[in-house]
Amino acid sequence: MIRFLHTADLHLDSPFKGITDMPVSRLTELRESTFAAYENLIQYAEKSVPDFVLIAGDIYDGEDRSLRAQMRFVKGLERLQQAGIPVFMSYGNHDHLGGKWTRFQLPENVTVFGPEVETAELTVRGQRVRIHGFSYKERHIKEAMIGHYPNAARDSGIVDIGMLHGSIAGEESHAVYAPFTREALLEKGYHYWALGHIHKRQVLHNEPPIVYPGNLQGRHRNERGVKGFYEVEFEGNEATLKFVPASVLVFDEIEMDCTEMSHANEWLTACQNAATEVMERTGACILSVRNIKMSPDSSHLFSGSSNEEWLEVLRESADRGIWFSGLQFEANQKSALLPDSPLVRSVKEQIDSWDEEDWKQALQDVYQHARSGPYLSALTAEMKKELSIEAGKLITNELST
Amino acid sequence: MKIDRLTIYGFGRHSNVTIELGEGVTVFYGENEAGKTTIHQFILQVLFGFPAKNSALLRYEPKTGSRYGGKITLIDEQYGRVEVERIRGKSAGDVTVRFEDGKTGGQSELNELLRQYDRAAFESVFSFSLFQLQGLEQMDSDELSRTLLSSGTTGMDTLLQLEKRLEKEKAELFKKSGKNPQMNVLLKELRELEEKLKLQRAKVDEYEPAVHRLEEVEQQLLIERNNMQNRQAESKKLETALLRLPIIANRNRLLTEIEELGQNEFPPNGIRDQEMLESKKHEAEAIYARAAFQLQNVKDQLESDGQKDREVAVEALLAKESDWQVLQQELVSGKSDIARLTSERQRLLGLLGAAEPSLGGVLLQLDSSFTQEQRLQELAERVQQTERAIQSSQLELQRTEEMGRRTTQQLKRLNAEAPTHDEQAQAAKWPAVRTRLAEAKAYVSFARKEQQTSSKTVIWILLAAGILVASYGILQQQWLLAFLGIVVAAVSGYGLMQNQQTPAQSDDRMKEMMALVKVYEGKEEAFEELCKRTDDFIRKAEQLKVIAEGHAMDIEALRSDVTRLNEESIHARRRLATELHECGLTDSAGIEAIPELFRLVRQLQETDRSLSLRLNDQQETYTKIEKHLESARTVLGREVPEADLYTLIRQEARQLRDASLTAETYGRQVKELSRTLEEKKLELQAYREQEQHLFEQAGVADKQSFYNAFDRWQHVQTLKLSLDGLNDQLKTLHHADEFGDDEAWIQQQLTISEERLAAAELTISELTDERAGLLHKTEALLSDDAHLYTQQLYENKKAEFNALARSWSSRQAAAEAIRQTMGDLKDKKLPAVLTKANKLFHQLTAGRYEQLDINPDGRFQALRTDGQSFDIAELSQATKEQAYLALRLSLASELAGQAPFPVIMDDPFVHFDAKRLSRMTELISELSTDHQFIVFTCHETLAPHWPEAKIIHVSEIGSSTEGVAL
Repeated sequence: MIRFLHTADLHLDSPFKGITDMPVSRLTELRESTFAAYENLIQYAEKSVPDFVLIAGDIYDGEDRSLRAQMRFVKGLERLQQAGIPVFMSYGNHDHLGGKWTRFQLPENVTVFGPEVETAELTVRGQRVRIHGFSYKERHIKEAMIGHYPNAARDSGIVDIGMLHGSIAGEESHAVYAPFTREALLEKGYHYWALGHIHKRQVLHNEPPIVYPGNLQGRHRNERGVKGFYEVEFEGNEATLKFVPASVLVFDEIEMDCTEMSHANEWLTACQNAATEVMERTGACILSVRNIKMSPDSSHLFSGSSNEEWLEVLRESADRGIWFSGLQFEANQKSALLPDSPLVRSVKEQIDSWDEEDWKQALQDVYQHARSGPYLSALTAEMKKELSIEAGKLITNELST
Repeated sequence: MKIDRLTIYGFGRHSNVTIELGEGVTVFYGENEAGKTTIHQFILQVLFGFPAKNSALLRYEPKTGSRYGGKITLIDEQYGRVEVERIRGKSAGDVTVRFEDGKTGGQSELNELLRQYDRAAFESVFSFSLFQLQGLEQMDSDELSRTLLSSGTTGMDTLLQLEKRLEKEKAELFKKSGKNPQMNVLLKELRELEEKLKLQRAKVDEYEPAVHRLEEVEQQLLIERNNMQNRQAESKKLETALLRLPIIANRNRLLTEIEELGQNEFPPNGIRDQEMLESKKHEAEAIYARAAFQLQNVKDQLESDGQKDREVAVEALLAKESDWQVLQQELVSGKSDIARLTSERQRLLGLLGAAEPSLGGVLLQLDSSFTQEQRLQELAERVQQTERAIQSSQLELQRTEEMGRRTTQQLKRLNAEAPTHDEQAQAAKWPAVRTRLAEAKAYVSFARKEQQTSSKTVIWILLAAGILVASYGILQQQWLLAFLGIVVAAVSGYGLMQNQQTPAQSDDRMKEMMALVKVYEGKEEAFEELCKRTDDFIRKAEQLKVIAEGHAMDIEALRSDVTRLNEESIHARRRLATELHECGLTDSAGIEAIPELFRLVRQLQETDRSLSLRLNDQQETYTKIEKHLESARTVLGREVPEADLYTLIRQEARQLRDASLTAETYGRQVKELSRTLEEKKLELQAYREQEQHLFEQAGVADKQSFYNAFDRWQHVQTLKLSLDGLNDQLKTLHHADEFGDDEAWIQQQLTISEERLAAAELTISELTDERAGLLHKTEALLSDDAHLYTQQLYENKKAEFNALARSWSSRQAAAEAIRQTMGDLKDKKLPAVLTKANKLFHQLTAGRYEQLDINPDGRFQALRTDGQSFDIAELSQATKEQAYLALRLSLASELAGQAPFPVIMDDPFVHFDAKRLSRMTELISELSTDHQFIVFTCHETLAPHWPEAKIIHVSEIGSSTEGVAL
């Protein structure tokens, strides 16, 4: 029997993105959360004493990794050493080997893979285990590193585990690095693929398991839900996966059915109740509120104050463990109840008809501006859609009241 | 789309009404207040919702209480026949859409059916009245054209305003080369933060060199510390070498001294043993001396004591103590008895009146036998008897004398009460008279002797009694009684004699008697009384005389008796006194005391005898006591008082016993002491031998030299000890052997070593300082989170900037879209509408006006057929309305494709003359092929001009018999 922990994308001490208006004290807490999650991982390891621990890249967030982050990371590893737990780790695109930064001495129980695919070996209660992996030698690895992994030696009774920081070819939610295909992984005949890079937890294949554990702690509203790592147990060829939550702060979204909302209090109470429910389930959380099924009454209610004001009121009445990050309104539903006038429709249609060039043209003042351009995230299709909805809302709100 | 039927459940004044509409044109005619507007509103509200409760528009809720709402049946080209029903529900009401195929739907289906038109949009195109053109001429061209435009494209105005506002908001957010807009401000902050980050990052870069330097310093420190330790060790050794030098010198000196003193032996613990022996010896000697002395003492003591014989004698005396006590007691009791008896004898003598001792002697010799006593007793009794007889006789005498006196007194009293002489005479006569009277009467009756008999009886009794009393008195020597008795007897004897005389009265004179009776008739009783009285007196007097005589005789007899008795008494007494005197007793005691006297005499004699017995006993006791005392005196050897004899004896005995006990103890002590003396003698011998042995061991002869030997030996030991100490010191300092004993050289080496040590210490201190600095720096860097803070701030600002950019972008997009739409409208839609409007205007004005234009200033103008153009304001009211209607209708028909709604008109033709009106109706009829027209009017002139239209009289709706199918 072999039992090990698989984690990736720790992004220790990374700044939290996309958060505005939060008071400094809470920001500090927020900033601690990646460490707290890491601490949870270490404590879990100390308590359960697995045979080894795999860390599949992106331990730090980037080139301006803090000394503090490194120190804390190393201290955690030292505790694992004291507990007699070997650690196998590779660096990913965020903390590649090419970076010019101070490196801390790692304790002896840690094996770090080099820039080429390497194989580390250990014996667990008589069972030979081989672990294959590599670290990023520079930030961008476009090459399909999978080709360099050796084939499994299944016949000799060895357990082979592959560690790979990268994404499936064609997956575009994260920058594509060290691309691979599921088939290519399966071909290797390994017992387990410990992947990293994608922050969303997902099991790509069950037998043998190909697993993204997701990151250890969500850091913005797109990294929703409870985060953690996997505890994997091999009994022969049979693998049992157990997800262990580690995050101390959860990004999430709550939906508010506004059909019956006609008073501010009702809506506030409903929001707080929903938020408390989330907090009871997952602990401290940062929530965005999505208001759906807007009725004429509720539309009337919300039009009374700006979104910022609503948000402020909501935050004021919120529990200590809850932060409301934003409000959204389900625009489609709103229009279903109050038909747009032909004029509004034609204006909206106008926006919808815009192509890439039109958008660029329309927004060039800001997006093509030499100063501001660099600070802005790229105009994605999704963003354009959101913008058109928002613009539509501006018009509708103006004309339908 | 056509409205086929209206079914009103309850709306305003109408309830339960169904109205069928015409295919093409339907005219609702009614006077004011008939309810036209209600129907107009019903159509709009059922289709587009009841107004909100707070809205300015009326809700037309039925007052009658019937169900609010209703339904409209539509026929649509696309959806077929559709029912739209709206009833009370949420604010806008609950809407249901029923399609031909049975499907039903809600609001979203209705929106689709109404082509996403809301009420405002619908009204602006398809429902119009002339009010909307009021003040048309005041508008400038721009506004006018916008109004016209906006009648087709609802909210254009607002949209344009929105665009303006959006532009303004955008400008507040961002300006290309601005400084104050929010985004520009943020941009600046972001740039500054970036700078700051760069600086902080550079600081972090110092960490690695610092860590490296730290390692070097640690290495150097290690080397220097080693160096310093070596130096220290060397210095220490040198110092040790210095220390050794004086010790060596000392050792050598000691060795010499010991050698000089030479070897000598001394028994171990010699002095202690010797001293112990000495002290033991002294102790033993002391005990020996003391024991010898004590022995002598005890022996002396023993000799002085020895009185065994005397002790025995005293003990014998002690044994006799009880005898002594008995004697003493006897003496005491004897004395008390004698005292008692003497006093008794004295008392008895006193009682017997023997005051004189001679008398006492007589009494003691007196014959106290009973015979003597008896004789005296008899004498005494005789005296007594005589005395008693005297007494009784005297008493009798006195009584009789008393009775005599009393009788005399009675007699005197009787004489005092005696009847007069007449009375006595009369009384004396009366018995005769009465006798005659009675004889006279006895002639009539016969009982007369009775009375005589009875009186005789009384006298007899009296006589007997007198005799009796007299005899008694004589017998008893009661002379008075005896006298009385005699008197009574005498009186009664007289009476008896009287009575025997009276019967000798005459009884023959009957006649006289009769007369007599007649004389004394009635006086009988008085005479009887008087007679009786006189008789009593006489009788009593006589009685008393007899009694008195009896008494006198008695008294005489009694007196003689008394005298005789007195003589007798005196005689008896004299005899008794004589007898008593003979016996030595006083006769004064009286006769009764004689037995007592004898008893006393006997007692006296008894007492006397006991007394003499006691006196003898006492004498005996005295003799015994004297004897006892004598023997005690002999034993004790001195005079002893009788009282505390035995106290002294006991004292003596105790003393003697104590003395013998002491003697015994002394004996034991003698034995003890003798043994002790023997033991100590042996002990002393042993000690002396031991001491001698010790001296031999030390090789000396006497005690003094023994002590000298000890002192010497001790000194050598001390020296040896010091030597050992020095040797030990040298041993601990052995590692400095190598340096030999050249002091100068060692000193020199030491100085060199110290200097080196100081140098090493300095280096170490410098290195330590540096290390501390480096440690502090790295620590600070490790814990410095300013960088982190800046980083997070930077991220936050970036997020904020992005949010603003997004907000700007959405506004920009909206504004841009509005601009583009407006452009499109102006360029494409307006010309089409205008063309159509021209055509209609031309038709309506019967060709007088050619078309409607927009002049270069942007104003509408009408162009007449003759080429003359007019501003709208210059046109007549009717023409103006025609122009307006042409525009609206053209707009409606332009939109017919996408919005085929009925056109609802509210009295639009009021200013038209008949010609215009018919042209208008003609035109509408033409258009009604494409649109359904619903016209509300209050002018009855309209209907005749419209033969093909369906006319509905609103006022008749309520009275319609058509029910509502619910």
